[in-house]
Amino acid sequence: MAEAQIILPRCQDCGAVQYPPREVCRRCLGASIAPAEVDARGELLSWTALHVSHEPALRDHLPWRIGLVKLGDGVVLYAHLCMAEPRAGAPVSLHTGRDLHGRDVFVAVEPGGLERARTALRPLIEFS
Amino acid sequence: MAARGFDGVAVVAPVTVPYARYSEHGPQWFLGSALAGLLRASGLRKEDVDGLAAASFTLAPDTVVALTEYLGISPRFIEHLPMGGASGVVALRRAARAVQAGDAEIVACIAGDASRKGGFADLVSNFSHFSRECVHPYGAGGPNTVFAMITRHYMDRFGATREDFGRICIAQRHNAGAFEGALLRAPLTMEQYLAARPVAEPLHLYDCVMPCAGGEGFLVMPEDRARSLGLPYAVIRASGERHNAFFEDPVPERGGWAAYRDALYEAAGCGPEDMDLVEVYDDYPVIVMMQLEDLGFCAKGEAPAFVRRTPLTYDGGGLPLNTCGGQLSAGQAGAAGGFIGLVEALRQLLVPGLKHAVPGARRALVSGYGMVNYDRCLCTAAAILEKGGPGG
Repeated sequence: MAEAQIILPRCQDCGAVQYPPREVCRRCLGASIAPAEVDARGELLSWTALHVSHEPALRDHLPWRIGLVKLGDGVVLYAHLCMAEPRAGAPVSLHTGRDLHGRDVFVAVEPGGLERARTALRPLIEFS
Repeated sequence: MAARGFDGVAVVAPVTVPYARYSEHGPQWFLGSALAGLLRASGLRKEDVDGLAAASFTLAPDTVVALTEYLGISPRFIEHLPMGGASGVVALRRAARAVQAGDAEIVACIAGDASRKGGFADLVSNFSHFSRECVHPYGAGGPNTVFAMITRHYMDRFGATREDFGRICIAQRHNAGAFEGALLRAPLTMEQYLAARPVAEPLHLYDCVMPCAGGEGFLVMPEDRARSLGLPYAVIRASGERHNAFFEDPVPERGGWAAYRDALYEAAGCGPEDMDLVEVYDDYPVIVMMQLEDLGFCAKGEAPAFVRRTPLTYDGGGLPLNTCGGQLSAGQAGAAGGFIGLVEALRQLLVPGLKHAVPGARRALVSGYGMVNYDRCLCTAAAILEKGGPGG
C-alpha cells in the first residue's frame, strides 16, 4: 500500500469522504457508500496527552498522546499520536494499525515517521 | 419568519434535589423527588400536572413514557429531552409552547440522574455511535479528550492561558461557598488550580466537573394561573436554540448561540449589558468563554481578557456568572446539569433571602450546551428570563 493512502468510506455519488463512517452521505444523502483509498496526508489541529484512561492497556503508558487530524477532504479524525513535538498546524500522515483488541486504529506521525512509530508503539499497536 | 414570543407564559418554582457524589438511589428517585418538590413549592396536586418534560441519562432504557407510570400521573403532554446540557432551556421552550397552544396547563420540567460507583464509565463508553467507534478506541473515554482538543485549540488561537480558565473556576467556587447545595465549597486558590493533576492536557482536575447524583425542576404554566396561585414567577423575554451549528468548523471555536444571538436580543428588547446575572453551561471553562463571546458579552477571542477584568462572583459587582457554583463546583448531576443554570436563575429572580443573592436581580440569561456526539457538543439553547408580575 502506498504510504500516503488510507481506506475510508466515500460516497459513490458525490465523492465526499465519510468520517465518522456513515451509511448515508453527510453531504448529498446518497445511499451508496464504499471504501476508497484517500490521501492520508493532513494537518494536526489539536492534541492532548491523556493522564487517565479507561483502557487498561494504556495505563502503563501514560501520558498517552492523541491527535485531532484534518485530512484534505475536510474530515476530522482522532488518532494515536506519535510525534516528537506536536504543534497545531504541523503536517502529519495517518497510518492504520491494529490495537490489542484487534481494532483498526489510526496513528498520526510526522512525515517519514512511520518507522519510529512502529518501534515506539509496539506492542500496543502493530502495523502490517 | 421570526418565531412568536412567549407571551402569557410563567415559569415558577425552582427546585433542586440535593446532590450527592454517589447515591444508591435510582434516577426515578431524583426525578420523583423533583416533582414532589415542585408540588410542595406550588401548592398544586399531582393531578394538576398535565404536562411532563423530563431529562435523564441513567433512566435508559426508560424514557419519560415509563416515568408517567412510575410516578402515577396521566399527562396529556409529554416530552423526552435527550439534549443533555441544553435540556433545561429546551424543556422550557417545549413547555412554553404547549402552554401557549393549550396542549397543557401545568407542565413539570424535571431532570435527574443517579450516580453509582462505576456508572459514569459505563455511561460515557456508550454515549453515541460515533464516539464509541471513533473516539473510545483511542483510550479516550468521556468528554475530557474532546474538550482537551477544543481547549488547546482555543489557547493556540486566542492566547488564552491556564490562569484565564482558572479565574472562571475560582469565581464559581467562591459562589459555591455561599450556596449550601454545592458539593465543592472550599475556596480554590490560583496556586491550587495550577498545581492540580493533569487529566487530559491542557485540562487539569479543576477544569473538569465532578459527576454526581441529583435533580432539578421547575414548572411552566399560564401567567394568569401563576398569579391566581399567588406564585412568584418569571417570564421568558426571548429564547432560541440551534443544533449541529457551524459543523464545517474543523475545531469548534463558536457554538450555535452565535447563530441566534442577534434575534434573541432583538426579541428581548435588551442587550447583554442589561443582564443582572448569567448562567452558562460549564462542563469546561473554555465553553464558558465561548458562550460569553457568542452571546455578545465580548468579541470572539476576547473572553480571556474579559474574565481578567470582570469579576464573575455573585457579589463582585461585575458580571455574576454561574451563581450557585455551576457544575464545576456544585457537581454534574447528569442531565440535571442541563437544568442547573435555569433553576439557579429562577432562584435568583424569585426566591428572597438567598445567601448568594445577586442584589436586585431582575433579568437573567441562561444558556445550555449539550451532547458530545463525536468531537463537540451539538445542542445549544438560550433564554432571557425576567422577573414577572407586580414589581417584576
